[in-house]
Amino acid sequence: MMSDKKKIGFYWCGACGGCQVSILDIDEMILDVVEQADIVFWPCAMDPKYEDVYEMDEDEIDLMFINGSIRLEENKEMAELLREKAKEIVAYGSCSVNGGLFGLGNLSDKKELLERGYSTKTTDEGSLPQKVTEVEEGDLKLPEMLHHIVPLEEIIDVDYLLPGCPPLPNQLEEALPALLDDDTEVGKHDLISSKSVCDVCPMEREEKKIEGLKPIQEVEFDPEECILDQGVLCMGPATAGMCDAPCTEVAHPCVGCNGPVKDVKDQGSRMASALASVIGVEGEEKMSEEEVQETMESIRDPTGSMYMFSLPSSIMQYRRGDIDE
Amino acid sequence: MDSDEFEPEIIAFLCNWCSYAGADLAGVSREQYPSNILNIRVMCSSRVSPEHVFESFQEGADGVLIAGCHPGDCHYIDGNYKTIRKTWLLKKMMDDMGIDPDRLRLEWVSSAEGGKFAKVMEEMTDEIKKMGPLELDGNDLSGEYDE
Ligand code: FES
Repeated sequence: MMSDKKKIGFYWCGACGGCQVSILDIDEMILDVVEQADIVFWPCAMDPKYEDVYEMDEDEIDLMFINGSIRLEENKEMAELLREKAKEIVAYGSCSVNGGLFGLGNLSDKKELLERGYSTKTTDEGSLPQKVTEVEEGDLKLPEMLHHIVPLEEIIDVDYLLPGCPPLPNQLEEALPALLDDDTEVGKHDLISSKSVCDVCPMEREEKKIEGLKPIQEVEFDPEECILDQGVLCMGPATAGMCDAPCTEVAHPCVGCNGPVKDVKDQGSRMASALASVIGVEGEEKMSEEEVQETMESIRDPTGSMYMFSLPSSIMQYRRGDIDE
Repeated sequence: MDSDEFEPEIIAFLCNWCSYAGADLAGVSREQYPSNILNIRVMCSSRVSPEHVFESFQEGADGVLIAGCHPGDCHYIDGNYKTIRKTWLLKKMMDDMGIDPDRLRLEWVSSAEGGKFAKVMEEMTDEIKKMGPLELDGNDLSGEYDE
């Protein structure tokens, strides 16, 4: 008897594993899920081989969640293969939607990353990973690293984007039933909030002018007050707020993990504009241009902080040209 | 003039109240300035977001100019102070992304400075010519690299 249950799958590309754990984070709701759907492919929990995927029929999987960044040739190949085997693809988690934390590697190039990772002072000199290693039993091959990380969307057609690092249970509780139900229309960008983290943050933002940014440990911190108002970098204004601000609620600055708000492409640019407006000093009319600029120097590593989770999906995507020492 | 010479494309964001009027004056007073510039009128220099600048480079601009009212003269009081800060950040970001920050220039041009407008345009065109074209699509995804 053919069951009319949906078939779903989860696959990870270049990832930390948090997205896989987040699926279990929905607690007993997983029982509702398995009532409606069979999990037919899940390398993290089962033990499928590449061949098993190649042997699948076209469109065999109804709903395929792909998380992690596209870092290696292998990630790209698997994504392309799964596109053929699945009816609908969900880019799951910030790495797959926006490139994620690993996307910061795009500020370096492949050469620099490999050399830094495998032969700097802290590691033994001289052994970059070999693509092919000959052993008695035959040749062992390592997948090639790509020049830069791209969002999944750039490799294959994606049907839904569900960012988050990782997506939280409340996001899944909303998304899963809608995605599994044929009668509910879900648009590609509908799972991204058009509200920012500031919009859902319990702290009241007074939009105070601040004189510059400070590391949180140098501030007499008031957990009841808006973090940005206190002069600590908080990505709230430029970050999509599906998470309901659990970090700022416990007085941890938003790091921007959800990526930009719905229909915004460049999270870092939005944050730069926000920072340029909130930073300001009394009597700046009498200051020289250089002195006004100095008010900005308190921002440490602006590019890295503002694009921490979304560089590969930003306008520039990755660093151009050669990197000189 | 050698017709093979590199002709840069420069996008100029001009604030409505001062710099655009300055550009107008340059035109009315028949000041000569290079034709490499595409003027875009914005209400205030602070309206220009880093997105506009990156998008300009991505779409083929070799240089971007942001011009506004002199500090203190912005019609929205402190708009151009925001522009100073934003431009500083933007240059940092450009540097990290491998674009020479000198390809972005911030200038103050009042509505009476038609001459200054023409001069800035000329200088900037010369500078960008010296830098050569901005090439953004040098790296493909696979990025061959041999140890
Ligand atoms: S109106 Fe001209 S810079 Fe603001």
